[in-house]
Amino acid sequence: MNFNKIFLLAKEKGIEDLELSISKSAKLSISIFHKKVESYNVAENETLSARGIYKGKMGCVYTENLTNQSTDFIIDEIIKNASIIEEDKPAIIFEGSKKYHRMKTYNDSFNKVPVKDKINRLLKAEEKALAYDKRIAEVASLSYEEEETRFHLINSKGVNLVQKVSDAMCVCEVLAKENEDLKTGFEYQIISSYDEFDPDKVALEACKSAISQLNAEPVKSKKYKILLDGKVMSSMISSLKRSLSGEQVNRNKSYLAGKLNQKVFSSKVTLLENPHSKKYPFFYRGFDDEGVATEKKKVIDKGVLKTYFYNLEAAAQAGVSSTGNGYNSGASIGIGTSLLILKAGKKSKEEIMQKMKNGLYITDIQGLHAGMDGLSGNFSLQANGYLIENGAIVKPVNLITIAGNLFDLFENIVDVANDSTITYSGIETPSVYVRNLVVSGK
Amino acid sequence: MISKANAAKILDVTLATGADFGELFFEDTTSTSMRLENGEVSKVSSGNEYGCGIRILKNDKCVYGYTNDISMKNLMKLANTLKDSFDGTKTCEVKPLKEVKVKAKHVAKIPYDSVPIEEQLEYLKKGFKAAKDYDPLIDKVDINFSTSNQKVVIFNTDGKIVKDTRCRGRLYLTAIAKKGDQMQANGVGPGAQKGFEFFKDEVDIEAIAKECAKAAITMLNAEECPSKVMPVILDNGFGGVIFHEACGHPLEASAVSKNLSIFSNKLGQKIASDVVSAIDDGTIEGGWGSANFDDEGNPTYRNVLIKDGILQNYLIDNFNGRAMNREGNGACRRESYKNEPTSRMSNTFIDNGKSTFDEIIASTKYGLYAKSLGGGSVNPATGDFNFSVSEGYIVENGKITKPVKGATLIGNGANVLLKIDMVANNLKRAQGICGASSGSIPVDVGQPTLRVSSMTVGGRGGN
Repeated sequence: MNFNKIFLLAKEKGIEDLELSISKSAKLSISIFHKKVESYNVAENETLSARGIYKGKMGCVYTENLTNQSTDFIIDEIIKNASIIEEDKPAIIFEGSKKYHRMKTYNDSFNKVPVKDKINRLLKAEEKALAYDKRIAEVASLSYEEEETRFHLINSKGVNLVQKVSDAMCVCEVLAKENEDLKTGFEYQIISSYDEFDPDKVALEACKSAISQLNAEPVKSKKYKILLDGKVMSSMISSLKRSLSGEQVNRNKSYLAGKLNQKVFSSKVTLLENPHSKKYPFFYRGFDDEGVATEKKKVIDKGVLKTYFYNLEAAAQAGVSSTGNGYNSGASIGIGTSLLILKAGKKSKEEIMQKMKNGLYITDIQGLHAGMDGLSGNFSLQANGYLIENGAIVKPVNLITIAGNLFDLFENIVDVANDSTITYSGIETPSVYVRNLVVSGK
Repeated sequence: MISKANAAKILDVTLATGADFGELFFEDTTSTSMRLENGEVSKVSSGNEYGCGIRILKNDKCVYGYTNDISMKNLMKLANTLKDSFDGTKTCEVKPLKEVKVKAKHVAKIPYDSVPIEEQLEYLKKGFKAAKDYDPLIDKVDINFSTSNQKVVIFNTDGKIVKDTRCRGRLYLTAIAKKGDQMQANGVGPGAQKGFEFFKDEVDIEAIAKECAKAAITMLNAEECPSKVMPVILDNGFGGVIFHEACGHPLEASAVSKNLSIFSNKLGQKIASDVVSAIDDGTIEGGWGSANFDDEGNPTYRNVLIKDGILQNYLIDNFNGRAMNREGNGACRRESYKNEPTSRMSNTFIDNGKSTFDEIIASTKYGLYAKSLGGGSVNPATGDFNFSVSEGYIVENGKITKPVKGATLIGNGANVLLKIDMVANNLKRAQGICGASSGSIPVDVGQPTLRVSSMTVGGRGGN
């Protein structure tokens, strides 16, 4: 597609500034079931998003039809959409940052390995999982997916940036059965280079988790001390992102609005954003989707709120600079984050359990999209995990709900363990000990 | 998008290594979404989803690929890559392609692009005003309005050409009530596979906006819901999400065919109490989850899933149907060409019973009346499910007494259906978006008011 033509036509039609972002990705995924490849997917996709300022307002459009016949469509839609906007707010196309952080994030090790090898590794892992324990009834799904993405940002103010990322993921779900009791176990691995791919480990971890949940039952309804596993804590941090969004803060739709530099959470809470992590190159961002250079920053420092996340528009409204958190949401720009890190503590999970003495270790929560009210922070969520007595795990627990308030939860963090894990939502966090939550069981 | 002759050429490639079925799914979807914050348009964007998905089946194996470059050269390349994943030689031929025609049932009378934007905005702003003016405690009112027009053309090696157009529109109004530091949001979101006539003629936006604002304030002032096991009365409409999660997902062939569902091998068996009959109906005129054809070109059906408590049928797509010795029954869906299709729900609901709403409330000594529900989720293998209550009340001695907030209901699909002991006669459907392996798709859920004799209710109020 001829991008120059779009810029020329835009100018001709009265669009003051224009920005194009082209995201091109190629994907391969393989899933096996019962010793066979059950599904094999190959895909390529290229999406062009365009944002243009027309009579002072921003119009947005995207298309997957990247032939020259879309040129008129793009321009017409920008003008049409910009003309509908009534709200008086800044419309900004960025002139570029002075300096950008650079790091090699593309890894070609995935392409060098034949597909047959990837399939064989999965098949062996399935075999090992089934042999692991006679209670493993089924490997419900075992899959591998690799993807490479090239993101290209060009605008009429001279920004011209490219970023290429590659990664893969291995996911496994198994079913354990004892008498009539069925439990599932789920595990995954995010892979930055093919030599890390370890389906055996993923499958075995899934098996262990399923077996350890067998014969779980609800506990008595009351308040419990709670140890939240890193995976669960990651969901809690994800839910908190909404309240840290500069856009929500500007509109006074955030609990954290007006609380900058105040102590809002427990002093055990230090939350960082690191877009340049070498450990997790798949979450790397040198610049955001508006071309603003990203930077490492403390969001919450020992419980004190240090910054919100801003894109260009929200920053201009608040009279501050963009924090490099402008992320595409559909065709328009919203607010997002790269890698978030909750700083780990010094004690092991076991030491923390000993300190807790009695309580619940929650390893999984369900229904976050409905059970968490991001605005008020109130939540009540289906959960499972283990009962802790005298500082040790004594039995599995399921079909309970844990209920509380998200902001209270961060205020009531008693301790933070040293067992950090990374989740696919781009959050690294250890297990966390929370003073108490209301549990409903039997 | 492509000529019949070229489609036949690509389909021919799909069969070259012994596959028994090949399919091309072309899509051209345009969509627009508008956001109004505090009565002013703050964001508008539009898009064009455009591309082709190729699916090849060989016995119990499936390969799928997609691309947005639908030039003949690129599609041939994709078909070749996919067919190379099988070893073998050709065993069957592409049947002559012929269009399958049905009378289109879900046609927009007033297409959205024919309605001046001023008229659409005037309508939406009525909703804003009604909610905002309802009470000074209403701090903010946001409205999202999205419309889409999905054009689909399917070619397959069985000789089918199927064309379908799905025009959908949905608004979502959120009212936020605020008192001091406390904020409470509440939303309402009617939608249909119809044109603007749906909003003009069927949705009284001022009435639903007021209702929405009222509920936000009620919940702002509500006590925390107690947490314990108790009878739960689920109201009509979106209450049907319980059936969707607890029973609908486990009835999908994708889980059933692999024996990964709690309802595998249970046809003809009693899985629900006698008062429960449930239906999935993709043919409802203008229904949010309806279509003339499903996404593999089969006509949609009205499938009775449960009759008087007995399991009658599953939701089946052709591929998963193979392992069950069953043909697809019009339940194969996908979000777009970027998703490998599979068995999914369309408009799924529990049918009317014989009780009345008043009888159900009056015969409940103590329990939770869940007037309005948020979403939920289920693990189809174990049947464990959860869903959240967005507007709830305590029932005491046959009377609704006080509002409670923050409740989540949990349970297991295998026994919750057996615990439904009363079903009213006020069936209503409501719109939702269902996310699963083949993407996020529009579905209706629905039911009359019903009572579950006991459920675990999780709230923050303790016991």
